[in-house]
Amino acid sequence: MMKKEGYPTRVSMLYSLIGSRAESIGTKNLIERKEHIAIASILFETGHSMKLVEDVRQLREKLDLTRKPPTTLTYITALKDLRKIMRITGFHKRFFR
Amino acid sequence: MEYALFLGCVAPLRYPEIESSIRSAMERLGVELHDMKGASCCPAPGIYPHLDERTWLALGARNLCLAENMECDIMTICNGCQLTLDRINNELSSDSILMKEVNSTLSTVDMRFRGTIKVKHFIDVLYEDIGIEQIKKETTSKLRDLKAAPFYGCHYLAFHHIKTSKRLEKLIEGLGAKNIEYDGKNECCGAGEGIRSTLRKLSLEIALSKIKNVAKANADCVVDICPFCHLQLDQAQDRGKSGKKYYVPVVNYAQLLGLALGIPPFKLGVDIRRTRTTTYLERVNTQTYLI
Repeated sequence: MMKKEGYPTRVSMLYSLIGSRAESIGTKNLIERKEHIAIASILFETGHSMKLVEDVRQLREKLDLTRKPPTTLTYITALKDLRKIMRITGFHKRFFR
Repeated sequence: MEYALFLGCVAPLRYPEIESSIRSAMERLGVELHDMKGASCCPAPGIYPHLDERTWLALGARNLCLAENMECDIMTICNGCQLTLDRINNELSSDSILMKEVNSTLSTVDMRFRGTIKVKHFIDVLYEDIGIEQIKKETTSKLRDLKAAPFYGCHYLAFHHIKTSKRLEKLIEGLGAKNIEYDGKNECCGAGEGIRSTLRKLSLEIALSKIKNVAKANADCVVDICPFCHLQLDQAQDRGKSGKKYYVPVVNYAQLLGLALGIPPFKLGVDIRRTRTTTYLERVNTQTYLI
């Protein structure tokens, strides 16, 4: 299996410990993990880990960008593929049912 | 020179001025960027591998496949995206059993990972592919006297040796600005590894400690290279009614580069965020537009 991401040695020990604490919360405690599961549900819904809000849509237009980025938010077939993968790996069943 | 542009989440969905600045600056420097149509979250390295590694690998590989089908290397604009995509790319390319397992999942959406492309952070595209000297030639003005506090973010430092590279500092100097040293420059902004979503208060305190140090060093702005660090350093300064308020402008390097290239500030969105940017903009405007 893949080696988990760790903090680089140049980052101080204090922050490494905080990181370890957060990781512990994320992986071992089902109740406290709810924040990450909530983010994962946005991923299943949109393909991203945060929602596109109206203010940002307007800001994108002001900056001469498309109202939606050219990602799963624009391409529905791509979003369907992403959801299919999340179902096949068991992610959807494990966290959303 | 061309790249497949991987947007990630924070830039397009929270700080689109970073996306706009990178698109404008890269075009000006002759880098052709192609949209990765249908790309998703990378997925975030601080959350998804800990929830379910198999899903993290498959979704990351799906993003890599989009670029492989375009026959283009990927340019990332976020430290977290760089870490995820580069790591998955390397792991799958060097582990045939893992690659086979992931490809079995991807086959259900008619995709196959081959390991034919590379993943590069935009700072490394600027430093390695374009080069400081070329950037100096292309910039129409110099940001003389601007005191910039560089901030890498720890996920970038995870795959670079800061003591030998100093890439951001050199790129800042390339625009004519002056680097300001401050405590905690090479530490985490407090957002990564899921800390922001699970320990919000502590996470913002970590970010605010950086801002305090930047203010103490009397820098005009902090210059980051990652939208998640950008969000963190920007939002940490909004402390409500309690506590001392800080007004340190948070600027992505692409925005600074855009100004130096003569791209209009409104196109770069340098004046639309929480932190007051008057002093910084006056200084930049003095150098860029009034002389």
